[in-house]
Amino acid sequence: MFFQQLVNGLAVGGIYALIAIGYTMVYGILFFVNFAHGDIYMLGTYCAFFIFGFMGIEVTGGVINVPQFFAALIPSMLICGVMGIALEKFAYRPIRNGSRLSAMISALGASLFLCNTAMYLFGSQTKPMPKLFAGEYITIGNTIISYIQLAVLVVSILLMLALHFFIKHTKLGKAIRAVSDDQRAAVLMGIDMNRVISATFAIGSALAGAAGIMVGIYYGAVYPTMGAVAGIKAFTAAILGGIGNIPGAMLGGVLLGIIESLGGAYISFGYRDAIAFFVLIIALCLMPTGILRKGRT
Amino acid sequence: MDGEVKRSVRFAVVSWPLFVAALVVAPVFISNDYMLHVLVLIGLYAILAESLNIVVGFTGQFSLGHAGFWAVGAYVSAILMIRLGLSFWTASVMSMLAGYFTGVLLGLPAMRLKGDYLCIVTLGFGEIVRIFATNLEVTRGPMGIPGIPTPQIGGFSFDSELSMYYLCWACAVVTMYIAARMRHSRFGRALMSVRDDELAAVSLGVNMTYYKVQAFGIGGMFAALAGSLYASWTTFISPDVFQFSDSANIFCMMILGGLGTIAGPVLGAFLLAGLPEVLRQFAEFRLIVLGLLMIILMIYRPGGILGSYDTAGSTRQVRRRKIAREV
Amino acid sequence: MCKMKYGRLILAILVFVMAGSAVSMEAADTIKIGWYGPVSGAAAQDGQEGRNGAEVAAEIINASGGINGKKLELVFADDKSDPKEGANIATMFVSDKDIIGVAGPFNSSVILAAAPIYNRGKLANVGWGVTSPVITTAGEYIYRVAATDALEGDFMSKWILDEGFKKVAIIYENTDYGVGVRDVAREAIKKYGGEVVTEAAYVQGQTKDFGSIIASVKQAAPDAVMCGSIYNEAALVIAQARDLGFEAPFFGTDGFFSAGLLELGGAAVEGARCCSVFYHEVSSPKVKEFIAAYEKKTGKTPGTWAALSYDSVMVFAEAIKKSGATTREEVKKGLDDLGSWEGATGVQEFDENGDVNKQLVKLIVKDGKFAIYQK
Repeated sequence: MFFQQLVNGLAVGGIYALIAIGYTMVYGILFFVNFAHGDIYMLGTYCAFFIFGFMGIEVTGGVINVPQFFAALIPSMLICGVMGIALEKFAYRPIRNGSRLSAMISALGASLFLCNTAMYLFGSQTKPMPKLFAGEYITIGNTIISYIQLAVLVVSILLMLALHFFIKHTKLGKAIRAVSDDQRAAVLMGIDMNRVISATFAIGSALAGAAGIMVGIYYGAVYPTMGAVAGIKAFTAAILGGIGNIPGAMLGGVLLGIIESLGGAYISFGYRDAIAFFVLIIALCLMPTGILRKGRT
Repeated sequence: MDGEVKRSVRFAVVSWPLFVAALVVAPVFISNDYMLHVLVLIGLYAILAESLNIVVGFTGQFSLGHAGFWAVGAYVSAILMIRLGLSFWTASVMSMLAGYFTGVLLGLPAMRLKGDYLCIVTLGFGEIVRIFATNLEVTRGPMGIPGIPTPQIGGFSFDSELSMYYLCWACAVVTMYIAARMRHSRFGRALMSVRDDELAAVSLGVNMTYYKVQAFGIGGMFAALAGSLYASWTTFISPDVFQFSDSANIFCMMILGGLGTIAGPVLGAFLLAGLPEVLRQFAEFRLIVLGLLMIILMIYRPGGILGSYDTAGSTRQVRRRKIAREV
Repeated sequence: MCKMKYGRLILAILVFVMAGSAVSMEAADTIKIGWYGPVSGAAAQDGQEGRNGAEVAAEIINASGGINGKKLELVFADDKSDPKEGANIATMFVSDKDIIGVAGPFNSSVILAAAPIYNRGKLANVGWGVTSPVITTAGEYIYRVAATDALEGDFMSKWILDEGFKKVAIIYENTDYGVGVRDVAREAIKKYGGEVVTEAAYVQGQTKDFGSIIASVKQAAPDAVMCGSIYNEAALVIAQARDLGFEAPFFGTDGFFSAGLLELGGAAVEGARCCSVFYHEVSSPKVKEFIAAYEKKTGKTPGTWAALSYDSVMVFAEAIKKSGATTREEVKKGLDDLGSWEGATGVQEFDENGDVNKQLVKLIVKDGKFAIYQK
């Protein structure tokens, strides 16, 4: 059973990691927690829901193939990226020079607005999503790994590798790193802050959107309040890994997923979320800046 | 500085009696139980926001788990009253003690953590309290605790909305008054020095750990009082009364009204607990509008409605300094 | 500067007080009934379904001439599944002197927070979704049309054992509903000669990943699973179980019985079994009338919550028609004296505690539809 729990934890952890990256990237540059990030993730799932509808796929009991999955994934990520830019422009840019508290309140406000607008527009009921690989799985020993779990892991890893390449080797990626290391120096070097911030929001939101679609397909459901819990979990993961640090967010996400799975199974499912928070608090007391600290120049 | 203190003292002489008098006579104009009920709820939120203000506004420690203290107070008081048959008054004092010690306990990680790290730890605390309330036997899990006795004094029972209105607002005014006195005391100044510049405070001999832990303790104590009042007022508590959304709500009340001020959190409670009731017929839109209002307010009045710009400025300075230090 | 601060505070208070005291006056030729339920929040879809059911009830009543010639007017309020809101709404309804009865809510914790206020205000409240056994003793003004968890949990446990499944696992949501089902099933399964091999709880409205729960339940190798879940999560539990190769049959209470289970679960919920107080292919004309009106209004087949909410409004109409009641006290007396009547969820009668005893139907998902179970 241990390996079974590990596999489940890894799949969930991959999703947490994708969402956590958005929190960590924004924090690395603007030093505030974008509470509306979870709602962008929710909107990503809805994007895919409507794209599947548009493609004429039956959502109840429907099965999609891999090309169809990517046909939904890419436009949804783009839409989420644009929404991230818009969110920053309307809710955060006007108060960029204000205190972190006002940014936090503004973020909570944006989260309320997005979640309740979605509830108004799409209805509050849980809606079904089509399946990828209709319930097929492989068995290794006693451990069952479903194709969708593998797919979630593979796509998460691919996206994280792509992000890593982008941050390390492109000009914009370097600019993002420069701003997160030293804002003033970066601006003095002629880096356009607004562009970097927009790019950060776009990338973080697109990844959250991707996570949203995978969660939607993995669990087969989409509903307007799904962002709240996922947001808190991903934020926890980002902190656990050391906020502001992208590899840290990935590590934190995967760790949190595994802790939850194993903690639930071996201690008590009723206390599953409490175990995750306890581990976080203890980890933070021992390592106050998270597991991986923010890199410095 | 001296002039400002004098002015504020002179003003306090007028404003406090006026505020209290308004609260005392308000029920004369409100015969409606529903209005009184909402006012009691606002009073409870005023206590909660005011007590959170001691932690966040005075001491500058983020806390997103205030509903956790509220729950601790409510459960301790309810269990003591039902299991041990204690009176409301004894039980509420015990629950305040429990709130205080829980606060001190939560304050311990605060010694080492700052800003968003503290934010997630306090958020986790709120969730942990709720999860324990859902899973323990003594709290009756999700079934909740019904039949909590109402406060009694002599032969008089606080079982009407009117009597609870006076009791809750008396507690709220006491909380406000203590917070106001604290702000101008040596203790309060020490808290604010920790908020404005930890390094300078420590080098001037302020025992930072002690003040941080005390701030959490006192904040937790008053929140527990609100919990105890809530339990005896509605006579039923269950874990889903104390959610993360309540912690966030209390936090917003404090910020919207004006961080670090005394009247601010109370005004915030009026706005965020009162307005949704007034707007009940627009139920579908009220949270959408509230979200927009929060963003707009932060753009145009980042210090909150009653807040001065200094409080907003001081955190900004801290952040600048922090950035400078990291460089 | 300080002066300005308090000036604003007082102004805010005044505005608020004035806004609230402008209570509107209604004409006396209508009968006002309050309705509350979670139209938003974690249980929003159940609340919406309930609200539709209540609206259909009002439409049917008013289309046939109202109650004793008076039009029925429903006053809706959203409790968001939050007990604090429940208490707010209760005082709001009690304060509105025109309201002579209240239907709702969905959540047991909400009615328990509201119950003392209704008892004090002598206003009868008929719960439609509330199933916790605690509510039986919540006070003399508290009634319900929903069957208690005790009744359904026992019924289902007996059915599981009758099928020859001895080893049973219980998966339940960590709410008053789920825990109620668990407590009853735990005792009943033992009583009928079975064994509870494992139990696992999840957080309603939060947990969507049941992988680790399924893995540990599978480890215990049960013959069948008893599920104390509402359909949206039940569908996820079953679908994820099938994805992980766990094939034991699932049993649930009337929380399963909704088109949502079929829609969300697809092929995975085939063979899932549950009981219900309401089944839409019963031939009674009262049931048919309800279903026709509901389908016309929403385009969907009604589920348990719609039917129960419909009945919670209908029972007031029946009681007022029969007794000619015009005041709250008379309405309460009317409910007490109502005796047996027929609603969308069958022939029913309040007992001395305000609970109902109902006929339960055994259902199974067959070919993507709920059907009466036949061995």
